[in-house]
Amino acid sequence: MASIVGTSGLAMISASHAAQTPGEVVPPLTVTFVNQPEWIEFWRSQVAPFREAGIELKLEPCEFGTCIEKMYDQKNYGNILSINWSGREERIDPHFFLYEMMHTSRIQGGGLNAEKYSNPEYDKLADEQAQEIDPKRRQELVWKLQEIIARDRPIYVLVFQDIINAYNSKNWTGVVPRTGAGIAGTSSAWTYLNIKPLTAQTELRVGWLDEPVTLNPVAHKGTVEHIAMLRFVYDTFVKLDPDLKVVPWAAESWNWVDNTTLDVTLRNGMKFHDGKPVTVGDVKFTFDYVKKWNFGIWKIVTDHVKSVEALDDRKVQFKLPAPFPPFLQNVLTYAVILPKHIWETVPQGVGVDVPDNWEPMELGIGSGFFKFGYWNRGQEVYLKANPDHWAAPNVGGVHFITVPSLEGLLGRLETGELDIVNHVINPLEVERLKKLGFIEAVRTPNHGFFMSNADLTIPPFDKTEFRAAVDHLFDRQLLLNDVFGGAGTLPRGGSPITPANEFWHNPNLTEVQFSVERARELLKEAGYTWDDQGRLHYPT
Amino acid sequence: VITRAFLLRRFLQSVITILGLMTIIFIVFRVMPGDPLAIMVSEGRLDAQAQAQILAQFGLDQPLHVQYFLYLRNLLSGNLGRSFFFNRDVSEIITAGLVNTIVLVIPAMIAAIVCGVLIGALLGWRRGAKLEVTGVLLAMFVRSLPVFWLCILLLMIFTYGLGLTPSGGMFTPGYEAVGIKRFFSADFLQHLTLPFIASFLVYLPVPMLLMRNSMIEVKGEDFLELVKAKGATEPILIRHGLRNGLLPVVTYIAVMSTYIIEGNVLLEVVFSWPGMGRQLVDAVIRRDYPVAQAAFFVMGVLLVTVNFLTDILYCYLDPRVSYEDHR
Repeated sequence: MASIVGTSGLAMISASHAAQTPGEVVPPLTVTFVNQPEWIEFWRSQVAPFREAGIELKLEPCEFGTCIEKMYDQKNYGNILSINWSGREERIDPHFFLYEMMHTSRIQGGGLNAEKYSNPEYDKLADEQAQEIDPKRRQELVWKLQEIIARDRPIYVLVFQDIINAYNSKNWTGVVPRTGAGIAGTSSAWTYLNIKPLTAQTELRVGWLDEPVTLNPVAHKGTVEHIAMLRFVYDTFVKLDPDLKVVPWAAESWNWVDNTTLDVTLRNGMKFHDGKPVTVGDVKFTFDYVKKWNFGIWKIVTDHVKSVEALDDRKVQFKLPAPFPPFLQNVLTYAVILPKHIWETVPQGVGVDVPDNWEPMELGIGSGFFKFGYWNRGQEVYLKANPDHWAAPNVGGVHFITVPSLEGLLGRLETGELDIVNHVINPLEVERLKKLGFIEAVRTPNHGFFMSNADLTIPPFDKTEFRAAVDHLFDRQLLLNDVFGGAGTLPRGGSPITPANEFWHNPNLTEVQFSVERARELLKEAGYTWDDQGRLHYPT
Repeated sequence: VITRAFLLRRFLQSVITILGLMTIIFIVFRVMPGDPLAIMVSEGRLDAQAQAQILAQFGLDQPLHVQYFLYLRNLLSGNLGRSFFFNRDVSEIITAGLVNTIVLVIPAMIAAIVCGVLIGALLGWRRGAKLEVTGVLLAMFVRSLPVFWLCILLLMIFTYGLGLTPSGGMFTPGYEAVGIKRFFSADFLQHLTLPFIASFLVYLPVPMLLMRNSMIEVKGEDFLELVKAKGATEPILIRHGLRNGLLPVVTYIAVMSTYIIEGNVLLEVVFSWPGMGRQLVDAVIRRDYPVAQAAFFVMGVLLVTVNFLTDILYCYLDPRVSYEDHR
């Protein structure tokens, strides 16, 4: 049965859970979290402050896949969930976190609104910002959305964990940090383009935990890092530079004809790795092809591109179904140019049923600054520098080496078997590594974060007053200091936009302080009471 | 002496065991929490239509009993299916992991069995001597070491301390490995050294202690007195005893053979060895039914087969064991 509960302008659809009887004990809260060491440590330390406020916790760690299923597919995770969001490129624009995680339309299906927040006022502003082309006006809307979040507290952003990457500074120079990617993350190409060897060893050896599942750019699997690595082999239209500004790449220039029409001029003289020229025909083919097959992993592209037409031999015109301000930084940093002469025969010509099932290997031909070298499964992927590229890298090639444990990765950095570790390391490790004299660590802010949210349809979290009080029970400082060794930024007013993202972050928000007393005060004000055993009771 | 009836009965038993195993594997993977789709899409998220499309592609939209019979038919015809996760043939994935595990495990296992049997026989023969006491103590000590700790200790000493061996992997990055020849390259052997020593130490104590125990039993038997009376020297006596004391070790070899499939997960992780053990664990975590099923299936079939062969081998090793029908 659906009933509407109004709380300070917030309308909520309540699930079939019976509303609490006034005066009853607040039942123990079930907390579902991914069984990573960070979360285990954090939630263990949270039991005490919650208990002081009269609330018992039931901790239920789960394995990543099971968690995702409970949290986002079934949206049945008990009272609270905890998960972390990586700082992907398209998440720098505020649209992703503000819209995908909190818009009413994202409650259904596999949407990311796991807290089931539903506020028509919020939705309206979120829809408006998604179509607002003028950055200044859009900024106003984005700031307003963050004010509503600070008031309603639909989610609890805990810490923006900094990215700390280490590399061998005796043998290499010229690493480039970027927000959300560090110096090693493949979603930023700049280190890989800019790094220079200081010795005769010109092959860059990068270590990571998992090897790619596939090197097929349309297949629906793979982690952020692997998908981004493929953008070294296949050119995108634009890139985000180290200051997060959109810069030309395969697109030399562009021009908005109107809100939904974009003309793009291709760079002159680009060639695929097999020597064939890159043409507007390849561009048109790519978008027609992904539209035809509707690849899940290209959804961000197919959602925002209606059609692509060639205007002359260097110019193409994109038609959008609706205005989408972050089109360049979200869509054109992701979409690549596929060579028509190879992909037009996929799948029938290569003996697979759908293009997703093809493993291109040597036919993994793009126009990017690296070429496919070889793939020793379970061990390494090798990309060879493309010296004919207009932005050719300084290295001879890059080996992405799989080492299945963090200890192993750091060990190999110490023995000189690796040059860069593509994994976040703890500041305590940094101290130890620095003593060796040839390893340096670089710290970069991150727009991805560690968060918790509650199911807002189940009491007690259906009440804004309760949510506001509980916000003071989260010991964010402890997570930051004890778990991340102080490397990170605390959120302000629960906003999922990091303060480091200066243009979009609302500067009027303040940090929520950890204070059991403050939480108890707020609960008391809202009519909650405690019994002799210290258990919290609902207001009568 | 083995009768045909015994062989047939034993063979049928093995087949029934394997069928039962297949059913259990099928059930276990369906009642396990977690959905393969959840892993596949991880952070990407797919809409309902795309999800249905993938389910249909893998036959997961069929009712369970249909899935079961499809599964039986495919396995029995040697079709291990396609990995949900990698979208490649399972046989291809498993073969790659199996080869990598075999090149590490088989040499280590043979070395451990041969050394274990010889040392164990000697220890048993010299019961009570200082050599035996020290030997048993050492074997117990090595046996009780946690595997990952032993591996890390070896790494500390040989790689980080002395800088003698690479810290992991099968080849130096950049070494373009192809064909069977790669397993005889200096580069491979360097990488093999530490994992080989570690596996050898892990496998050694059990056959050694088993052999020691059975040697102690055999030593008191009459036939040895007879051999002794014939004027045989000590090495010849040990050889006679050894053959008779071998039975428990042969039984253990059957158990040990599953290491080939399951590899040694911890060892493979510490040394970043791309073997079967890591594949199996990853497959279970990813809910990659086809790969995990196939790995368990191959492991089960191997165990049942080796047990079958062990039973037969028994009568050749010890003529007192007979499988004649007594009815």
